[in-house]
Amino acid sequence: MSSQTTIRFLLGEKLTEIDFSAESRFKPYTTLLEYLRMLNGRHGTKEGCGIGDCGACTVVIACPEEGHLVYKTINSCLVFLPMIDGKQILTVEDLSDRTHEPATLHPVQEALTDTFGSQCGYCTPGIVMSMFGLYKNHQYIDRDLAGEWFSGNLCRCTGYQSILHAVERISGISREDKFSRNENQTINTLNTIRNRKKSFEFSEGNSGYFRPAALLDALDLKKRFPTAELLNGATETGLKRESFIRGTYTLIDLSGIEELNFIRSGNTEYIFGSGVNLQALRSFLSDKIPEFSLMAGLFGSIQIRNLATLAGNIAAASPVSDSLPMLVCLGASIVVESTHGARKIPVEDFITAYRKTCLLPDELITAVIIPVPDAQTKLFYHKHSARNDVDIATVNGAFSMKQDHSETITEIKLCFGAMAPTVKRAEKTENFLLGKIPDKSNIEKASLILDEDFKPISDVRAGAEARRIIAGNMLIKFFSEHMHHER
Amino acid sequence: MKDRENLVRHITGESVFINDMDVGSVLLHGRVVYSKYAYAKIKTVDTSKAVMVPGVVAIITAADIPGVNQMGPVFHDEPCMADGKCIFIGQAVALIAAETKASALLAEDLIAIEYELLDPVLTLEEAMSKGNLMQPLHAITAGDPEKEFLNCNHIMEGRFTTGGQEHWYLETQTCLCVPGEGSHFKVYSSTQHPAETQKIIAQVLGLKVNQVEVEVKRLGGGFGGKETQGNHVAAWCALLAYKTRKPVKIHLDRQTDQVITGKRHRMIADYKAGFSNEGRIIALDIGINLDGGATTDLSVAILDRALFHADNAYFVPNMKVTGSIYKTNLPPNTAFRGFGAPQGMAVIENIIDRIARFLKKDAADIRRINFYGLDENNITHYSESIGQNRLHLLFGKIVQSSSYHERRKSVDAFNRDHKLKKRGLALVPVKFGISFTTSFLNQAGALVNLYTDGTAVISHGGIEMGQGLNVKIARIASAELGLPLEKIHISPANTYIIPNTSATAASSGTDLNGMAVKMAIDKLKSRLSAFAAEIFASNGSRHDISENDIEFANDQVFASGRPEVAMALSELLEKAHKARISLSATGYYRTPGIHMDWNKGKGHPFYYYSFSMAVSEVELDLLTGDHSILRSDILFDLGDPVHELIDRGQIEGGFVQGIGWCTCEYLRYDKDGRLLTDTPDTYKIPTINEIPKIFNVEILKGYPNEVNIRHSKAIGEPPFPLALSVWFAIKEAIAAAADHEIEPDLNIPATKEEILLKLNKIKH
Repeated sequence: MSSQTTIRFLLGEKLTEIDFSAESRFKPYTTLLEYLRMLNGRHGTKEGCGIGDCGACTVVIACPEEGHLVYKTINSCLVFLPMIDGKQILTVEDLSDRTHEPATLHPVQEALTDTFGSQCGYCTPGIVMSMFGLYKNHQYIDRDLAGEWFSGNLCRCTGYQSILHAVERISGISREDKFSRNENQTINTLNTIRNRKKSFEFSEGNSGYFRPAALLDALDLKKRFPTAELLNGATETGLKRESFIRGTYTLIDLSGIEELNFIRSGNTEYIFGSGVNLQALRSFLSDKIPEFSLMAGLFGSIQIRNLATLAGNIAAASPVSDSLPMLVCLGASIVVESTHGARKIPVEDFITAYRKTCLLPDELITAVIIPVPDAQTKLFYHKHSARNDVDIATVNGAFSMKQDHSETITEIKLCFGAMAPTVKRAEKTENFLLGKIPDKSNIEKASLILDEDFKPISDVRAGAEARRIIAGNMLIKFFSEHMHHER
Repeated sequence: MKDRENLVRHITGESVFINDMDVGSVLLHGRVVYSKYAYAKIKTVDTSKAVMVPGVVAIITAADIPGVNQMGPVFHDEPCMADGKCIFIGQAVALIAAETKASALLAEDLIAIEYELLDPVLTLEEAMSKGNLMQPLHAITAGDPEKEFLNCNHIMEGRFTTGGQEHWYLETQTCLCVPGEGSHFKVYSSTQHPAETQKIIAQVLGLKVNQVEVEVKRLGGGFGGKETQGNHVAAWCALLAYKTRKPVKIHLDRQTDQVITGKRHRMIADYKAGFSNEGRIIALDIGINLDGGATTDLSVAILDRALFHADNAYFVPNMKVTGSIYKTNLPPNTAFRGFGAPQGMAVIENIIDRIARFLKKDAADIRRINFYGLDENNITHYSESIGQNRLHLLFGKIVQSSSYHERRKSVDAFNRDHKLKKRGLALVPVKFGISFTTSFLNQAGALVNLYTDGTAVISHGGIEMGQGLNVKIARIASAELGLPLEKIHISPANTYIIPNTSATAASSGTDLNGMAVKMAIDKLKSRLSAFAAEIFASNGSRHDISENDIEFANDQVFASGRPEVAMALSELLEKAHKARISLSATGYYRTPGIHMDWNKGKGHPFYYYSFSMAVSEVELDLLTGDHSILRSDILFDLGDPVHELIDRGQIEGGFVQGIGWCTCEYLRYDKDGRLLTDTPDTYKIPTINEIPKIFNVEILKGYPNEVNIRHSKAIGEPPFPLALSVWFAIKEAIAAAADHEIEPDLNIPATKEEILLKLNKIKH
């Protein structure tokens, strides 16, 4: 395994190199945001929260895919520097030409100026970059799309209306800008600096940051450092950077392994490499399993989904996981690998206790397998949270059900999150409903039995009583949507 | 300063906030080590290990304060650093200055603080039951409610509560302090009140006020959260700079900011209302109780504004309002957009809503019949005439423009047809008193410098925090001077240039500072007019032109009605300078005629009133508690707005902030008083998807406000309580779930959890 301590990327148009062994100001866990703010003339990108919730630090990352540059918005406060190797980073400073007064503005900046879509200006660089990402990815923009792209950008001043007006102005207009005019040149430059075979490795004392380029190298590393923390999008690990300053760190960053970034579509199952991010999954499954896509759409913000992986969410084994109830319902499995070989584990069996899994110390998740649901299966997903967007579930539930021609239930899975120390199926309720017709009386009985399945807790997000009500109501909602009982 | 100048700086990322300032490599990183217990004796603070951490330059505790350990803004009851005792979680116990953030973090871990725990008071309920009053009661009485209750058809009693609210300005509290020569300190602070910041730093450092220079270019949002509490970080930062003699910056991380700063006051109100069969309120007794937190901060003035607005838009002939502030072991609660008024208004609006439910009438009609009158019934409970009453005008217009009556019918029809979804519709008026209720604060200063090339620099005491103050000031100056916007530059607020200013607060920024700028310009124009008249006279022997005939417009001076007798302003200024006429003038303004006598509970605290109205419709999913605001219509009386687009932004932004307070924003603490909703992970402000799907904002045209600058009206706070319309629409949708037979006992905020619990209650 050949490795280097250097990363290379384009910062705007400028080819930039950081050698961590020569540059003491930067650590591998230095975030992209911290880095940008140390540079002269790049103070535009702001830290509003440092945990990926506010979007003030939004920047755009561009990467060639199939001959074109793909632009993604990300939270720069969560991204470690080695993750940007071989990519182009665009910040608010890159959009306009400020060498003369008045500055030449990008169309998204023109639009925000026209509508007074900025007041105090602190969230604005993030808003501008989200709008730029939206502009680059969509020609026509309706309210829902705007809602999806800006739900990860908090603004406390404008009430968002002037931002929406600006979005209306960029819908449909020409997508030609200085970036599209430079696209080929940018791709060429990026191709020359992308060392796909080269791994990144930086160690100091008892700490180390490893970004292998091949799966085999990653498996070797996991064997060498069984307690190392794995990361891909860093949306979880990025929250812990102060602990790296205070102590030691051993991080294995899987984001450089191209062979884990694949989607395979078969007749009976879809297979996703563990490097596939949630936004890509959401797009891919939108017409295939709309309920999955609905779930993914409620997973963080688009900036988070562009980084976070499904495999990471599974491995975290959180009782409030967005994806786990859905995966359990779909009968999904994961493939885990070590230097000894691979094994396949149903997601339902993978989680053993509160934030515990049966993953062995030398293993890592390499793929997620989702069986293609058959046409008879009725699926449902609902996430209750204090705020609909970018929030942790108060209670979430994914349900699947099959009925025969007499509407008798022949198969049922009712899987809940945030109701127990792990994501958990309502077994008693399922057993009660199995073989029954879900009429009004049975549904009412079922929602009472649900109380026997769970003893939820009270915490910052909700009280136990509310959790019980929400879970019961989800059942009623599921059946009312499928039985057309009531509007 | 052109209209878009600031905007372009923002959208290109060029705008410099304090945390963006480049002061070279000597800058030290300041860190606050705060108390981790709500109420405890601090027995020892051991920093001996921490100071050994490489890169640590200084660690200080209360014992190192060279001046007075005090930073209470009005009442001097708030130590700058905890000394021997901590009274809430978030008091500074130690301050660290280090070369890097990493060193500061490591040092913090090594500071050993030994506490002896005491019993804290952590809820308003407990403070009330213990009688923990922070300050004496304030009360206002009009008529004789006790007697008139006996003559009312109906009596209604109840309790109503509203929750606290975190400001969540995007820019956390920040200060950069640079020691100068001798004992001079230059302070860049994210404060709404630089004069107070200056005074408190001087007091804490044991310096004279003139040794501390505070400068503020812009804030990344304030909303009241930086009216007093910007002082704290500034004082700590100055202490570190004083000790190290090096530039120090403190930029709070988000979690620290949320934990240690005060919030909007929680309220518990008890009321008794007597009303007629028609729904007219005859007598009212309201007791307002606010959670002040551990020290007074601005709580007294906030309580007063709550009392002044307990009438909202309604004439109540017999009214008594009593206000109490209670002390708890939580961070001192502070100013937040509306400053107590939204809490006071919410109480009477809920009373009106309850009366309408009781009488089975449309709440909008009950509101209308209780409105202040045009020619009679227009004196408030504190004896002020409400002046030009726009309530009836606005009501007539918004009922039309929002199709209120038609939509009332369609909402009812929808509710008949749907079992699992319900809709609600509500109209809420707002009458908001404009002026600081502490009368002496209603003053402002300005300095206008003209230059011989025909440009101007304007300094004023107001703070630009996103509300567009500087653009408005530039517009005012441009109109008064006849100078194009691009020739006007607005300087940062600086306490060496404009001294003894009031906070930029109480929606008064444009009114007070705009007027002060006009006063300065009037002085200059008077000097220059006399001189111009002389020149015109000497040029063409036009002895008939007097200084009173000179006008300033289009970058020129000219004789009134005789545009051919003109001169470029730059030419006049060049000549005036050579003729030794000063091109610089200060302006000073104080709002006339305002006063308040608290012994009598009577006075004239407000210069004028702002009027507005909103109609909101929501759809509620009874199973999930999700609600969607289908439409909000707002109609606002702004007089002749100085800048309509900016004012619209204030209306939309204030309204959405109010939606947050009314719905999704809540504070939760653990049993020891630790804030659990301490990051944006758990504290949720509205996103772009929480705003009304249809959002119509209309400005009332053709009703100038003659008494104010350029006939405009203030705008900052009044839109906030209009969001009560959303809350009442939710309440109505909940009530619709039980066919309006049972009234939901809903409080603010109506979180999804609360909604589900109330629905569960009325259904069983």
